[in-house]
Amino acid sequence: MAQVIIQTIDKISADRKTNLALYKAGDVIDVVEDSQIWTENELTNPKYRIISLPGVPKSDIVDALLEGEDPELVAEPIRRLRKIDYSQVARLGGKDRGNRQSQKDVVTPAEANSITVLKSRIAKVIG
Amino acid sequence: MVTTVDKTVGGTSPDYTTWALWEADGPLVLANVEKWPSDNFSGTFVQDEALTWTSSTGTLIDTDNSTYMVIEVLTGSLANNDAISAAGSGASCDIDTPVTDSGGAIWRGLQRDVELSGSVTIDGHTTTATQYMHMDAESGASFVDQAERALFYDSANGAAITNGSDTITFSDDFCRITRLQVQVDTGAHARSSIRVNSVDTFTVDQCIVESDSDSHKSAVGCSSTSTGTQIVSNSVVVNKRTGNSRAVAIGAATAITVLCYNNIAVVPSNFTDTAGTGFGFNGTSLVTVQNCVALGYNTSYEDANIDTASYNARDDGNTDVGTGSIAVTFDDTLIKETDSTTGLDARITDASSALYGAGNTDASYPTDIFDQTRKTGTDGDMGPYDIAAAAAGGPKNPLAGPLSGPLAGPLG
Repeated sequence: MAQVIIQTIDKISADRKTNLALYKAGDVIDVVEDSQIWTENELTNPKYRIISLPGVPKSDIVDALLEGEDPELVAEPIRRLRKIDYSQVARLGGKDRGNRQSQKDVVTPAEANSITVLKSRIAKVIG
Repeated sequence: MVTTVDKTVGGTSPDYTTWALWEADGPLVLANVEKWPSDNFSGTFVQDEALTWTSSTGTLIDTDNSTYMVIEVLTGSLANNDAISAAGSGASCDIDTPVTDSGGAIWRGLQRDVELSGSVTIDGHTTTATQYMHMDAESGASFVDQAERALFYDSANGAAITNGSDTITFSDDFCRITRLQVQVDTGAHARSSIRVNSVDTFTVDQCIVESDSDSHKSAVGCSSTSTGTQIVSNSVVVNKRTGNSRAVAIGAATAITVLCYNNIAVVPSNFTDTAGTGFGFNGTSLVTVQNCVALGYNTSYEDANIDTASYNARDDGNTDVGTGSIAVTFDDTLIKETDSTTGLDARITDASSALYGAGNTDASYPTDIFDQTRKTGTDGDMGPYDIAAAAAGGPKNPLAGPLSGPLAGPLG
């Protein structure tokens, strides 16, 4: 079971290439297990948002993120361009919505199914 | 002076629960970080929040909310009596003088004694040779602090990171990783344990790096567009596969300096390597390999691409790699345990090992993987572990390692 922690504000650099490598709102910073115990700063800092995905194995999210990478672009700072492939998200369906927890959002499979990439979905959640 | 900002990672009540979160909070331009004494604190500042003061802006890098502030200056400058405020937390304080450190920062993560599962990419930070990102273990949390433990990836021995793909990717210049165990496990996307991607200079020192990847990637892999000086030293690199993998692969399209000192690369004896390479290099790099050991690979060293080689050991049937180098037989008279099914141990056995006293300690690397003083010059041992140094210096924490000899077994 997985939780995703995302960036909610843009980090900006005047240098174009450096700017590409900086986290922007909606970017996935990390994917962790449901059992993750967050620090107070991670739970309350407004620049983060934690998305709980009940019933979704961490490995499925990680695999989906990695499949968005283009190996031909490894020289570029592409890590924050990773996206979760829609088909990967779609096949995760069928779980019930969990309770909304403090400082966390719970994304249902149905919601995940309704968007092309989870990254966009997350942007909507925090918006 | 450069200020080192230490943040704990993982374990109980850390500053960051994962390396990715530590990385995300790193200063954007490390040279712009300053540490100042401060007073008149009101409220509690929050890590990485936006700060404002007289016609200036910055980001909070560190504070004890009592006596000092470490700030990345984004616009303007800091001076005595500047009133710092944070709109987010509502906290405020006043800057005092004299400045403690105005020479930028080293952003150092100190992992607690836990195994963390996940990946981290270090990217987007503007660094220099003295202001850089550094992954390390907290004091007492590294396998290095548990001297005389078996040398292989074992999270029971200290701070460790594992993942199913590129576990650590360095895309910033001048990064360092020390005193950690890093593993890439089998997985659909398994690649390098440590991947170095187009950077100027990186350092891997006192690490145990294990690759269980069969996807033809290197345990420590440096891309061909990297520059500067690439250093791998005092480390153990293990490939638990039989395919076309490399332990250490470093190369560049332009001439760079590669320094490999005191490493051992091993394919455990329960695997039969048919196409892999221990130490592989690009032909245009200026490569020095000294005091290294490569065991179990189809090709121990890419000899043609090594510029300066001496006192290395190999078991691939070739004769030598430079002055003082030797051909050895990979068995348990050489290192303590060759088979990873029962727990590889890359320490040399004892004074009867062919690696004992066969090396040449370089003055730049006077200590071994356990931080203990190596024997001098050509009295030194090959590889990361100097057995006589351990015997002479003793483990840092004598209670941490298993007892042997007449003291072995339960007390009472």
